[in-house]
Amino acid sequence: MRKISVVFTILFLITGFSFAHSLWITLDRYRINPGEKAIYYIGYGHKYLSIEERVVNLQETYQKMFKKVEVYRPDGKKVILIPEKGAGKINADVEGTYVICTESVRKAGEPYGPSGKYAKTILQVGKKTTDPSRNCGFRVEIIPLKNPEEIRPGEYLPVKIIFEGKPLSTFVYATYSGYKPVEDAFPVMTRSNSDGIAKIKISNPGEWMVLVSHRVDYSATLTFGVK
Amino acid sequence: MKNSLKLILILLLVCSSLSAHNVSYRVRNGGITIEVWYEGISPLPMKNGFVKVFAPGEVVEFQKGRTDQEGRFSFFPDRPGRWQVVINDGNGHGIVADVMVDETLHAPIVRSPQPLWLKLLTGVSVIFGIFGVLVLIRDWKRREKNAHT
Repeated sequence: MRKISVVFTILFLITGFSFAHSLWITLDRYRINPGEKAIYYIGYGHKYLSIEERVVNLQETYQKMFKKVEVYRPDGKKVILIPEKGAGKINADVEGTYVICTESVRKAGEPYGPSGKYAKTILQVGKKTTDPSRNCGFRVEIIPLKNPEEIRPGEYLPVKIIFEGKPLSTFVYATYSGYKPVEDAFPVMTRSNSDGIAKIKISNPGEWMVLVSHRVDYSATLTFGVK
Repeated sequence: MKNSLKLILILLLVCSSLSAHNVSYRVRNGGITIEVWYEGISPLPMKNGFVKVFAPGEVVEFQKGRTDQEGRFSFFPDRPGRWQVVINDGNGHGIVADVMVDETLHAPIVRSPQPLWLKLLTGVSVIFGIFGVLVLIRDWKRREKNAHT
């Protein structure tokens, strides 16, 4: 009985910690030719899109968190990949737009309580673009309504935010690789409407990430490359 | 008489044009203050956090700024309703606070809501924690007693 009471006393102390980690997935190249391979990196932490917070560069405990990556090919087939230390290769022999998904979900009975971190990225293979709005089945999800491959700096990327399959009106943030939070935390901050739709102003080329956070402790990201 | 009126009129015009360049101030109390901190055993204020305040139903922010050294930010709402304050530290931590402003343009003092599981866990942990301390005291007293006998 004494052991149980000590365990609960410790739990009481750790419940005060904040929950702010985000999950994202990046690619070494967002645009490849058919037959080529892309390398994916799962990222986890606070420094969005950073190399130091790629899971492969984190502790072993983080590397064991990610069991699988799902790749939705343009021909409708789904491929499941097993990441090694939060990274791996994607074979792309079919031309079109690939949607790549991963998640880290914690249930209510687990330490630190329930949590859902969801990440998605878009890979363009060849010149032919296909529908990128494939739903990964996440609890919170960002669905691109236009192919990022067709977006140029100065244009808007429309996205739809859903929570448990329904449109979610919430704050939507976006940042790009190399952004320094000097004047604002995010270069883009907007709000999705009652249909869950938000427009992200893409200001420059490079690697972008859209982020939403809902309740404690659910968040989703979408990463893509802009020409 | 006519000349005096002209003079007054000119003086008034000069004064009104001058007032456009003068800046005055008054010190006021009140408004709504939000405090943000990093949770932990020793909570730390979120200094210089990026703040955006949104009036009810508005997409464009009502006000923006930074939190002070104590993690505080104040604003004066101009209408009742659900105001939203978004605060981020630019390093992956942030909150969205709903502030319910009443007809008198005041808001009740509240803390950020905790999820149900956390409330339950905290409650159970407190009970077990107290119980654990009592068991430890009882054991200690027993040992003391045994040592004396």
